[in-house]
Amino acid sequence: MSKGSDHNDDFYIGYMPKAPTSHGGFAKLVALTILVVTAGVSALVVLNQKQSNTASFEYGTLTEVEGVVYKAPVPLIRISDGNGGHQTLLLINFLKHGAGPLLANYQNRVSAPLEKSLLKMRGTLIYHDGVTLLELTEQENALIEFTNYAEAPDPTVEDLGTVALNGEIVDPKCYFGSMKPGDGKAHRSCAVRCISGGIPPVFAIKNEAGDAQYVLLVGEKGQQINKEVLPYVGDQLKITGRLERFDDWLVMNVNAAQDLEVIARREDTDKGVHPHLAENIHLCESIH
Amino acid sequence: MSVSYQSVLWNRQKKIYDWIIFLVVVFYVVIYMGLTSIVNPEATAETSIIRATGSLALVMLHIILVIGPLSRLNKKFLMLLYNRRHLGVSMFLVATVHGVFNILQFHSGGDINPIASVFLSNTHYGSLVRFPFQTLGFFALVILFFMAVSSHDFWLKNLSPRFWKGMHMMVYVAYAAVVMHVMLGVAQSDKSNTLILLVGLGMVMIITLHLIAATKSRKEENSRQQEDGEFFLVGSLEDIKDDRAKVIHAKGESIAVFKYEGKLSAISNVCKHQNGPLGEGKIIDGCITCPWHGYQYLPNNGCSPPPFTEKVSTYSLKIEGKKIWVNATPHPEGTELDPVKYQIENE
Repeated sequence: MSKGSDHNDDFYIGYMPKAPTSHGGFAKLVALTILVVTAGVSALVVLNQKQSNTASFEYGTLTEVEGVVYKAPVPLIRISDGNGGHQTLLLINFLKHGAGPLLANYQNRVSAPLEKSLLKMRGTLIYHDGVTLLELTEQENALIEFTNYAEAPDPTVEDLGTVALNGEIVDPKCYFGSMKPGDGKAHRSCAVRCISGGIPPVFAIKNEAGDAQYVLLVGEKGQQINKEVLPYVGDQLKITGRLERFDDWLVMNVNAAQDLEVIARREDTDKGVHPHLAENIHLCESIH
Repeated sequence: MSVSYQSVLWNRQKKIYDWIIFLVVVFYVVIYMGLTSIVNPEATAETSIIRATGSLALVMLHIILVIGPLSRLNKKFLMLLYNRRHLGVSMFLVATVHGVFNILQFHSGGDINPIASVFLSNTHYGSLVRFPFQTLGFFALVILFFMAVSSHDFWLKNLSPRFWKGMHMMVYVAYAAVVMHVMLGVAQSDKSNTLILLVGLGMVMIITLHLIAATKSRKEENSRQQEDGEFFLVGSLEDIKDDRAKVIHAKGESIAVFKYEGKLSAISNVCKHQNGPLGEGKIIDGCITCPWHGYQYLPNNGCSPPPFTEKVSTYSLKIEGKKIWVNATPHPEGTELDPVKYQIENE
């Protein structure tokens, strides 16, 4: 049958190679309108999106550090800061896993207790707001060297008493730089996966000025409570527990079954309702 | 028409259509990523990709959903309608990038299967504000997947046009799921409420256009004069251009009344190939030609010319003065009816 190109006047036929002339101009107008509208929507969404913070994840860059490792209350490495002082980094494993099992493997390779060994390790730095983490990206190969260090100093531990704090449980890997945003509802599932995978839960507390303190959460006897806190991740909580300073870190010992109280959903705080923050101001001052 | 399945190849029009889709996608992503790098330089590339593809897929879904009513209101939009599947498949691909990046970023590398994580990480299914919104996006993506893979003519032919059309109406379910995915997800962290406003505006636009188009169709149907319960007024002779048709809906029938060579004939508006709108077609070489894929039917009996075998129903017509009337009770498919001849009065 004829394809009928000579009959094409203003009859639009999808299978024909060319649209009628009268449709051409209209098509151009529609295409142009779609381009302008989509560009406008794109710009509008970008200009009104939540700004990302300056947290850093040095993806692709491995840094060597040397120090003493603590397996408890959570995996940490205490390194020299180069000025006669020290800095304690939170250790985490690759992807969404805690460093606990890795340290157990390292212990098998090191003759002395890890706390009495000098370990040279390599990993990816994650840092934000004065907190630094080391991701052991190469896992087993992250431990480069080790030597006995019998005279290694014990960690500084100071009891700060029982306190009640208001804040939000976050996973430190994402919150301090691996992802942006590393909090909020969109990130809740990811935080659950990280904490479920063994990354220590961190309680982020803020005062109304935006000053923040970060507290590691462990059980009353120092045991992991990762699974117990999962239902509370991302919500605004009041947590009561015994606070202590462990080197650079604040650690809170809590009974997950009793001491966690939901005071607001994350969604409320995102909309600017930030309850009971004044209580945290004094706490921040007393901790400093 | 065909004696067996035959696909329609990518012709020049389809290529131009696809190039415009490609251009819109690239344009959107470039603007999004470029502008983000200026106004929000700390944002990571993965986050920008997730946000750009998510918002773009939603924009494309809106365009897809307004093409239908726009085409009913203005036939010039038909060129968007006839190749809408290309836009649908493109939208699915963009949405897939969004979904895959989300699953890689938020759910993989943990202690359980990433797909299981979508459903098990946040289990607040009983709460509206804490609802695991990712599951809604996943559900929508599954619907869009089945629509995209069945978008080829092969499936339309083999699943039957009725089933295929019903299945593709699921796009409205997918749209509802996507709206809730946004509202219960990222919109809750959006202090500026921009997303809520944009999605709300989009929803108003889609619903309004559908209502206007439906009202127009219903008005046409309700205003149709009826004579003795069988014949319905089609309109005046001047309402129909030569070699073209006017479509009317009466008694559940969709009827195309064609005017050609001083005659009138009425056949079903629904092409046997893929339910294409014969009434939007034209008489070419003496045959009613479907605008979708060129299937042809003889106006006097609704049969495809030999050797083809497709047949559609025919309808009786009568003319009184300049007014055309059609009997909405169909004759069996392929029934030969004498065309109604009309005289053109000397103007």
